[in-house]
Amino acid sequence: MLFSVIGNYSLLLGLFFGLVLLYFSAKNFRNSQLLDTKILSFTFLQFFLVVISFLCLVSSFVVSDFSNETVFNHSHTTKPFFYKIAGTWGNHEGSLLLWLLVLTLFILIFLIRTKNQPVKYRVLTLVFQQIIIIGFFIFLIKTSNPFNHIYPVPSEGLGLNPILQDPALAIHPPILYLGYVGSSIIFSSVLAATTLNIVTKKWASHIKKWVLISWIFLTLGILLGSIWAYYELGWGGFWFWDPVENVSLMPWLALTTLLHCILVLEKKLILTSWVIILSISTFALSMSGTFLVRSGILNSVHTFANDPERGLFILIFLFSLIFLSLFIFFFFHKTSTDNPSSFFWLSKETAIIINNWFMMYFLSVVLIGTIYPIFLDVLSSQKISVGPPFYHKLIIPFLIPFLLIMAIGPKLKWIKSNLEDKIYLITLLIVSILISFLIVKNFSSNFLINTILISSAFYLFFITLRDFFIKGFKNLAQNIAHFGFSLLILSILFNSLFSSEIITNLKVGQTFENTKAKIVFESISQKEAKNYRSIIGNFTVQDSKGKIENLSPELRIYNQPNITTSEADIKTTLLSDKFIVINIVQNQEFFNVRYQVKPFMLWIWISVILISFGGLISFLKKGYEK
Amino acid sequence: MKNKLLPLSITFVFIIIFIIFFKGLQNTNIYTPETKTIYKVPSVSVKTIQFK
Repeated sequence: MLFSVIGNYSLLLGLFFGLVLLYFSAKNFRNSQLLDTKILSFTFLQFFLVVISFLCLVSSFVVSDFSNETVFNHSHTTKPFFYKIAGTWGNHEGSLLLWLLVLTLFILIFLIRTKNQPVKYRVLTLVFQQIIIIGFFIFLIKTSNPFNHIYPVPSEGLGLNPILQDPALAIHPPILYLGYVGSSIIFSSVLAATTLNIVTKKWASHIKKWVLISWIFLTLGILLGSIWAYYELGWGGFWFWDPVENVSLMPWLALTTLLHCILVLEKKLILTSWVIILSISTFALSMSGTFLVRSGILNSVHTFANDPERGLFILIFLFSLIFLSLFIFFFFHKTSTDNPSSFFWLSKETAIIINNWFMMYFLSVVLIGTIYPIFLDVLSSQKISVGPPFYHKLIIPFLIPFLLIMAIGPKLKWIKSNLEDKIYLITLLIVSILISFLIVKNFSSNFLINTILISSAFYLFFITLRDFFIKGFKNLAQNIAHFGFSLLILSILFNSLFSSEIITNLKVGQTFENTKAKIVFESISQKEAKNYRSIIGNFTVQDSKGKIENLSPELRIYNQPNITTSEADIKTTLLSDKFIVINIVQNQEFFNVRYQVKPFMLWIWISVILISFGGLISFLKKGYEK
Repeated sequence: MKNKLLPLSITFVFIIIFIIFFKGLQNTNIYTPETKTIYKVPSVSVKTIQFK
C-alpha cells in the first residue's frame, strides 16, 4: 500500500518536473550561452523520481501487495521470485513505466555526454524529449496507472500469463525498450538539429553512437524474442511474420538504413533529408508498434489489454508527433546548394544508397503486410491474414542483389572508385555458385532461385571472411556485421531447406517409424513445482544413422491462471537441433507429437549476436564525440 | 506551388491513415493473427508406465 502511494506521488512529481523543465528550457534557449545547471538537476530529479516509482512497483510485486490492481492482475504468491520481479514489466502498466524510465535515463545521459555540442541544440533536444516524456507521463497516469488501488484487498492475485514466465522473455522487454526508446533520442535530436539547421558531418559523428546503441539493443531484443518464440510457442519456428514480430522488425530496418546514411553523411554533406526522415520514421515506427500491440487492434501475447481509450491516446499522441515532425521538416529543413549531391556510379556511397532503397523496399513490404488486414477490414469488412508466403515472395528475390552489393560495396572507395581485385572477386563468385549448385542439386523445387540466393550469401560470406585475413582490424566492425549477416542468411536458408518434421498422434508405448526417424513414446511421468505441475512425455528418438536421443517434452498445468503450456525439449548441437513438443488431444488417450530436426539453428542465434557485436565494436571505437 | 504540394499530400495521407486506425479502434481485435490454442485442461489421472 505504502509503495503504491510513494510510486504514485513520484509519478505526479515527475510530470511536474517535466513541465518545469519545459519552462526552464524555453528560458535557457533564449537567454544563455551556457546550459542552465537547473536543467541538469531537474532532469536528474525527474529520472530519480521515475526510478523511485519503478522500484515501488517492483517492491509491490515482490511482497505480493494485492491492494495494487496491477499486482493483483499479474502476480500470485506462488510465482517464483524471479518472475515476480520480471512480472513488473510483463504487463501494460509496468511496461509503460519501464518505457518512461528508459526515456528519462536516456535524456539524462544525453545531457551529460554532449557537453561539446551547442547549448541551443542540447536544450531543444531536451524540449522535444520532454514532450515525449510528458506525453507518456499523462498516458500512464490518466489511462494506465500502475498504482491503482483495490478495496477490499484480495487475498490472492490472478497470476502472470505462464508463457511469459520464461528467462528469455523476462529480459526481452528491457533490452528491446533500450532499442525503441533509444530511437526517441535520435528523434528529438534530429528535430532539434533540423530546427537549428545543423544537420552536418559533425552532427552525424555525434549522433552515430546513439544510433548504434539503439541498433545494438534493438537487434538483441528481437533476437531474445525470437529465441523465446522458438522454444516456448511450440511450433518450432523462430520467425512467423506475426504483426508483433513485424512491428519490431520495421524500426530495425529503418535504423539500419539510418546507420548507413549517417556513415555517408559523416564523409560528405549529402543525404540530409534521408537522415531526418529515417530518424523520424524509426521512432514513429516504434510508437506505431506500441499502438498496434497495446490498443487491442490486433490480438497477440503482447496485447495486455483491449482498452480503446488507451489506443486512442497513443494514436493521437503518435500522430501529433508525426505532424510536428512533418512541420519541422518542411518548414526548417534547407537542402544545401553548395554541396554536390550527385554520385559517381561506382563509389561506396552509391552502393549504400542502392542498398538503402532495398531496405526501404523490405520495410514497405513488412509495413503493408502488417497493416493491410486492418485497412481491409475497416474499409470492406473483409478479414484476411497475411502469412509468410507473401513476405517470402516479395522479399527473397530482392535479397540477391542486396547481398551482392553488400559484398562489393565495402570494396569501393568514397566519392569515386575503381573495382580493384577483379580476378579474386570473379573467382569467389564462381566458387560460390559451384558450392551452391552442389548443395541445392538434390532439391527439385525452386532450384534456380535457391542456387542464386545461396550463391549470393556465400559470396558475401567468402568476401568478408577473406577480409578478416587480408585487412585485419581495418573496418573490423563493418566486416563482422556483414559476415554475421551472410551467416544469418545462409543459416536461415539451410534451415528451411534441410528441416524435417514428423507430426503424429501417439499413445504411451506406441512407436512411429519412417525412413528418417523412429519415435518411441516410452512413458509419461509427473512433476510438481511451486506454481505448476508437469506431465512429462519420455521419448526415445532414433535417427536414420542409428543415433539414439532421449527427449522429454512437458505439458505444464499452471495453478494460476489455470492454463496449460507446452514446453519443448530441444537437443542442440553445433549442426542441428532436435525439437519435440507434445499436446493433449482432447478427451483421448493420445498425445499429439511434433518432432522436428532443425539444422543450423544455433548459427541463426550466433549470427545475430555477431551482427550486434559488429555494432558494439563500432560503438566502442573512439573519436565520435570529441 | 510545387513545394506546398508535397507536404500537403503527405499530411493528407497521414490523415487518412489516422482515420482508418481510429475506425479500427471502434472494433478492437478486428485483426486476429493465428495464435497458439491454449487448451482448458481436462483433469487427467496419470500413472507412470515403464515399457521394456
